[in-house]
Amino acid sequence: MIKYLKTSLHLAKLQSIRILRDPVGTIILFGLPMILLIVSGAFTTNTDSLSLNTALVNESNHEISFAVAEALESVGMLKIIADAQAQDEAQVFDEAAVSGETPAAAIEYALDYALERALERLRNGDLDVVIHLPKDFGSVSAMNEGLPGGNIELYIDETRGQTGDIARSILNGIILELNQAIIGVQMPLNLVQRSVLGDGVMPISIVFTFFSALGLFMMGVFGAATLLPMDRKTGALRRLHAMPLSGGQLLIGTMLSFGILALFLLAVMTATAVLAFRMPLPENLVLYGFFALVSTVMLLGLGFAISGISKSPSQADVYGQIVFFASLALGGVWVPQSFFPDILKAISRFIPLTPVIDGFQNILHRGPGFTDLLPQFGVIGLWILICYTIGVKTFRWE
Amino acid sequence: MPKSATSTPTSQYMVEVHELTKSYGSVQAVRGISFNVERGEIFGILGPNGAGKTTTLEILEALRKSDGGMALVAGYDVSLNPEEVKRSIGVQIQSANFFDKVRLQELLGFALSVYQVRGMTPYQLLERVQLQDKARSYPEQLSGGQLQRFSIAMAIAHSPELLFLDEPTTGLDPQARRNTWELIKNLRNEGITIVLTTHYMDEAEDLCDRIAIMDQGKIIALDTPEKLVQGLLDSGFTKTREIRPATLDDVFIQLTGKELRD
Repeated sequence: MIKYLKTSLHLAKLQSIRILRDPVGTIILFGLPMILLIVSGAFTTNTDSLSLNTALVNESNHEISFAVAEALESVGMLKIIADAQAQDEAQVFDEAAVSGETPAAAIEYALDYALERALERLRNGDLDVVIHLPKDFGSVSAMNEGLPGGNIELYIDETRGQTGDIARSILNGIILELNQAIIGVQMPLNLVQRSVLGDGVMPISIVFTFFSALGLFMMGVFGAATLLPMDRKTGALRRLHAMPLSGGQLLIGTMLSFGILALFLLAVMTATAVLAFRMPLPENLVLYGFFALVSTVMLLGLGFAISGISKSPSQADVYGQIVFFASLALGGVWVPQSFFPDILKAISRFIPLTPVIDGFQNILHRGPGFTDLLPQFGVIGLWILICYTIGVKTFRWE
Repeated sequence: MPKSATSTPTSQYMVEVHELTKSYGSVQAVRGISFNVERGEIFGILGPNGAGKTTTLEILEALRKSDGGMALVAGYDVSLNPEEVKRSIGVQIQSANFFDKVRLQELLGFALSVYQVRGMTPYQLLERVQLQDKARSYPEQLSGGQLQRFSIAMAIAHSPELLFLDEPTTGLDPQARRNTWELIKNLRNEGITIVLTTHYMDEAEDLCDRIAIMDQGKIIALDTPEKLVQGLLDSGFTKTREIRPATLDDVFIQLTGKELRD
């Protein structure tokens, strides 16, 4: 048995050397998850530098509009971009209006033009949001029971991710404060947001759990899945088959090499998140390590199963990509899982990536014991059984 | 692991094949062939493409299961003791790559580990095939001749009793071919029994003590090269062209030298 494992270990060393000497493979398997973690980590932990290029088009002369403008300018996250052309034109018109030379219609035209110009810049990507205070904003009317009223118009580009949500959240806060100031009383109903993961959860922890699970996943579906078909194609496996080397030794050696590299990647990602982005270390490091090990065994098994059913390296690559992108889609990367129909929601709970992400998040945010992770261990165990059964049944040397 | 009762390690024969058959679907690749390979000899299997040479070799190397008949290799029944067979033999496979991005010394180190060989180093193995200066090279950096020699080094890492060589000189230049022949002869002189396949008649004549000619899955002739030629002549065969005492191959070697160029 010791000799059996010794040969597997030697093979694992050889396979690891091959993987690390391949620059393209190294970039995909190690570089990509690290880059994603670092970029997202820098974004999530440095919200002070987050700024939305904002155009404020204020057509209103009512007092409340100036209060809104002042409040917006005091928000650090909004970078109010001055429209130089509009400013120049406004100055000219202001001077002309004072001297009584310019009709009011011309001034209106100039302000409209500023809004159109701002919207054009939003469409071109020069601006993130445009806030428009219409001419009647802040006017007092009988409908408002003698109080100033009106709508603030927020223009966003939906393709620009969450920028619209952030701007809307800021404006809601400003409007709430102004409403309270106008009415003079505290609003009776308020919204307080709480996280089930705990109030102290840092965004980096959420980003880390996703990208670390992704790193392990890629090691399986892009690493382990393609190596054996490639060696089968070149005849390298045939050479090994001529030696007294069993299929079990080949499997253990190959999976061990990817497993060691996957856990090394996870360790480096954890260290990066902790040291560079101040992510708190998991309370239960033993459980964290054990869960990472079991998850790695499952995800590499997925790669092993793909390698078995694939007739060529390119077919394995295609299968790997299908599994990868389907898992991301069902994992809610592009469309939140809340929007899924019930059947898709149910399926998404049992795809291989979900229990890994859930488990890591629980360990990092809630500090659970082993039994708290039994649902995740159960799904992972089931996938281990399925994947390795397929892998062993479909394994062939040639 | 007990050996088969029909053969022992001290048996006269290193390989004993009896009524071996193998089919792929409706195609009968090997049709009940029988032959023996004596200890210490170089035994050649010749035949056109599709004759069944490679299938026969793969069955003897325990890479493929036969449908019927019996094959004893180094005293072990290949169908009952494939692992023991693999431990006793060395195999040089034609047109199969090694692991890429792994140095020659690392590959040989792995082979020594698989066969659990002690007291032998990768460097010593490379010296035996004149590749000691390539220890840190990758297989993909070797020329055809170097690759064949390295392949033989991998096959003899555990000092096997029996060596299988599948078309060992295919695609090599004359210098590399002759060098490989010398290497094969040296291995035979060390006491290793060799079974090889080849398409080159001059190679078979120069190297082999005995030759089996296969066609359509059957052995149609088996004897020493001299007796096979004599048998043909005795049947009344004559050549229209006079056989010259030297060939174009000899001219090429005479002009360019025997030294390896790779």
